Amino acid sequence: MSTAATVLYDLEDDIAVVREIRVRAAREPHSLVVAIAPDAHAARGVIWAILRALGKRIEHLKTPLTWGDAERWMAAHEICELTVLRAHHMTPATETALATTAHGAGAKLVLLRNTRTPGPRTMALKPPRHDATPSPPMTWPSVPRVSALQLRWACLRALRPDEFRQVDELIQNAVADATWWLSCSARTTPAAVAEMASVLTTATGPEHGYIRRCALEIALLDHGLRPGLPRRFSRGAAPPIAEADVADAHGHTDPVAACLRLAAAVTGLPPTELALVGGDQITATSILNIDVPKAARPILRALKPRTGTIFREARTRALGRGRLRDDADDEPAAQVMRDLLEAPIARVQIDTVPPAAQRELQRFLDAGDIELIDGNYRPSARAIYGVYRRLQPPQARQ
Amino acid sequence: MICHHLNLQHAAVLKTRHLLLTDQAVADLIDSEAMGAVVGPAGLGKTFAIIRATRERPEPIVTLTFEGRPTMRLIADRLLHAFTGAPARGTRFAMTDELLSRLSERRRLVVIGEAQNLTRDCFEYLRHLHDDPDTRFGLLFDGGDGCWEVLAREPMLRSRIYRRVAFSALTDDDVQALIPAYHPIYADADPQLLLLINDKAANGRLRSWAAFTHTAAAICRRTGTPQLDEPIARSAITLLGGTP
Repeated sequence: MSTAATVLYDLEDDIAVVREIRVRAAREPHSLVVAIAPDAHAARGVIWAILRALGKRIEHLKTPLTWGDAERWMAAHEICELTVLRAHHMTPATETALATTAHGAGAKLVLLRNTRTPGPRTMALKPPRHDATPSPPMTWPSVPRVSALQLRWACLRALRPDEFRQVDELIQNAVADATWWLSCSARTTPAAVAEMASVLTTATGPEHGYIRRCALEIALLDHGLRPGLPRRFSRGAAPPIAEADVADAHGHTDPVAACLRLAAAVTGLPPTELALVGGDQITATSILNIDVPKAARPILRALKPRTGTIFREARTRALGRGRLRDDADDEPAAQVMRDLLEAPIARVQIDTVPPAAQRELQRFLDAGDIELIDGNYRPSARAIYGVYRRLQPPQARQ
Repeated sequence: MICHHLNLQHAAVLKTRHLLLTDQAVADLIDSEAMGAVVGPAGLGKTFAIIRATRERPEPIVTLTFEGRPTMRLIADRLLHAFTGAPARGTRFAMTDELLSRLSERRRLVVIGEAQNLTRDCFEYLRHLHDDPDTRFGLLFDGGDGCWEVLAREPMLRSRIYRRVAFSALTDDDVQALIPAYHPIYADADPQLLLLINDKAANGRLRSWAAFTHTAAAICRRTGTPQLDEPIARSAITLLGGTP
């Protein structure tokens, strides 16, 4: 594939030409004009000129800068025309790389040169390194409505391999996120757990929500906590998103860092809960189902699709380690489940379990998550597979 | 209070045409955040006029003078130093970025003295800073002999110079009209004597007039003469190295 970049010549280097270009670009929101400084002829200076024009700030600069950064952000801002003033300052290699980048981002490239002698009016381009077309929105397959502990096994049987991989990755990542929170948070009061649950189970649709709720339940059971129906996440009393918040988020060259800053402003969540936000909970227009202002949406478009936590940096800012909540002792059935899910060989004698807890455990017996054999509770193979303590899936008869 | 050359006391500011044009040009450059130039041979009062024009302005004025052939980095470094009061740090890349941010903060005027010493790269660099749509500063080139020729050689500056004041030497008419008000020793001076001084010692240059006046006023004080007369004038011319 070969396309042309337009090359313009302004031999007089007239300010009127520059003004006209800028005025025209200001009328077109998806047009970007950058000027090359006389000392910025190499790649880094040109990349930074583009990123700076898109609102990035040097104090939030992720080094080293690559052409991929320029391409990703131009695509995210949906730039359709890139005009480069004083393009004659660029080296030929830089010019070629820029042309490839603009092409990859889907932007038409216009170079304005102020050389004394005009040259060719077009330049040939090499094919782009990769397609920067934004990824389509994440969709979720219809999953079987089975118990949380058996969801993984049931999905393996019911879904296509690619669908299973997608669901399995989400279950595993969401369980890991909840486990991290339960293991390190010093705030495991019932209210804090409920807040965490509301964040973790926020979903873009019913299937997505079911998978995430199951993952939460697995994590809670694995920690000896009784799962409840999580409430809907709400923004609470977080202050409205200010233009300064959006500008500050745009200042980051790293899309994840930019999105973390934006998510903090949009959701009002502290780092402990921000660290739970999964890439699958961020759409092209919202974070945790909260609408993001249009001006900030390029940040969402710049993210690569992924499931599970996206803001690993927030974990380092999260609260220090604490121990599990004190009232965990009040949930004997949940503790039995925790003990049973430890390993395939785990056993709990029924005589040691209080009658009230036995009544609660009946639900898990009925679902086939646990079995009662010779006076001992034992985990089912499907449940052990469901909590990722068994590598191979059990056969259907198990 | 502006100091005259040699810290000449009791001297008035001569409202020459160039001085008034500089007042207007500086105001226009700041208000329009445009580029301009004040040029002319040395000693004609260009820098004095610029200082006078800027002293009442509320906008910050940054004045940099480069005696040798500066580099782009030196310009960036000196500008940042003027803004922050500390030596600039980081790469030129980072310095340029910071400069663009600083120059966008508020309206100001940057005066570059001895602009004829700038290289093409330096002009390009200043133009890069000035052309940025976010920056808000007027840029005034103050240059001596050959400055306008240097500026005019750069196509990029030709279309960008919004105001130009070309200083020239005082004419005989200027001398006769303005000098009597310049200093008390000239209050009742013979107009022909003023032309003689201009011819022998000043050549229409205000800096030379200041030097002459400083010398003549000292002689007047020593001799107890309140007014300049021809013998004092010829003595001063001799002291200044001229032929009376």
